Amino acid sequence: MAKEIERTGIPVAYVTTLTSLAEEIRANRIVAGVRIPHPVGNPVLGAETERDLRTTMTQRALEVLTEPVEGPSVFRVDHPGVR
Amino acid sequence: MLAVVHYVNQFFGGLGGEERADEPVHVSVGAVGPGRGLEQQWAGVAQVVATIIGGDNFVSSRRAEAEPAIRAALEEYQPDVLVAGPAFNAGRYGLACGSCCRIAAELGIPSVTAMSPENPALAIHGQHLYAVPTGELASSMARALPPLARLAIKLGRGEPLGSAHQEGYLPRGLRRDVWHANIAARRAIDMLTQRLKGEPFASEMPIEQFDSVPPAPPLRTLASARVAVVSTGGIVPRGNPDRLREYNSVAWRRYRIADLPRLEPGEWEPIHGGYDSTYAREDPNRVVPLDALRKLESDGAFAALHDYYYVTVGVGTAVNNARRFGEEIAHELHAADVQGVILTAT
Repeated sequence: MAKEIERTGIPVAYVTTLTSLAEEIRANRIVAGVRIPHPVGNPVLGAETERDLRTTMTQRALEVLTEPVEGPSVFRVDHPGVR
Repeated sequence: MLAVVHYVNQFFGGLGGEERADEPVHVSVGAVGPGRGLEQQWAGVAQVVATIIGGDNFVSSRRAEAEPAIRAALEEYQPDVLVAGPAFNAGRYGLACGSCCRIAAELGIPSVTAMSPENPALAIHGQHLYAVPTGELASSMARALPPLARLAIKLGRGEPLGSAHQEGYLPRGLRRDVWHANIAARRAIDMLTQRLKGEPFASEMPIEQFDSVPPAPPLRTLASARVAVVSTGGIVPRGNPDRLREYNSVAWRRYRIADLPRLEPGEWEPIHGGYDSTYAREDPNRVVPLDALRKLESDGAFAALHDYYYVTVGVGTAVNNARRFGEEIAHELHAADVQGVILTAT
């Protein structure tokens, strides 16, 4: 789906925990998620830290839309909650 | 002796090249061109009783006339098997061969064709065809005829065919259950051992090769961008009102989120059959970050969030369906002037 949307000229930040699979299927803008059942959250964190994590990740995903890429590229999010 | 009807285009039918491509369908008694080569292979076991010759343009562009003529010839000669081609990498010819095989199937007549794996007709007819691979050009005729002749005999006799690999036809993308002497774990260990020893082995699970998509140009600025959120995580309104499937999804849905600050637990729920939904049930924003998007939107990080959120369930979903979802959603996004997408997957 990410590829078909990108094919039409709209950049897609594809947030997934399975980054190697995403590269294999040749998605272009891949953002590493936290875990499969909670790609943009982490239940072990306190509510406030988790909200901060999610905002950081979402902001990173938005920024990835402005990144020029040549092909499949994985972007990681720098936040202590991503572990 | 088996009776064969053979389909060829105007060129292999001896009528001429591109200048005769508008030639209507006609039937010639006995073998013509490559049909003679097939008869040599058959050495008296089978015979071409009639050859259907069709101009490439005529058969591909005037189907309403061409197909009844082909059908009539098959009904008249009642062959044990239809052979079409080889068509090599000729697109119109390949399509005509595919159409002939389809018509034969409708009449209960088995059929086989031959063409290059690159022939575009395979994308259209491939799942329904026994097609022997050939080279790109007619110079590969000599190599194509023996396996084509052999398959024609088997089909004409009504003998069961083995796998594509065993029989030498192109894989049709179909699976059939078979009994195997060894369980999967045993076979996997054997394969691993062979691999470690550097011995040849055949995977039972060929990995699909995926094409590349040229990256969309990056957004110049986020500040003026309309952004949409799409997810394969299966977060839907409580009760799954549109009955999205929990696996092997065949549809996507869009839900209006224009007035929502976040996805409220209880009002939204995961119906995805492929991950532990405990955490998403506690807080659906862990899969679809609507709360964070609203905060960033109000902070001015981007201009606006699209009024709709798009969702499907990405487990056991066929790649061709996923492709279609992407195309259809992209169509909506363009209509709504959306410039960027965040797609979350579980």
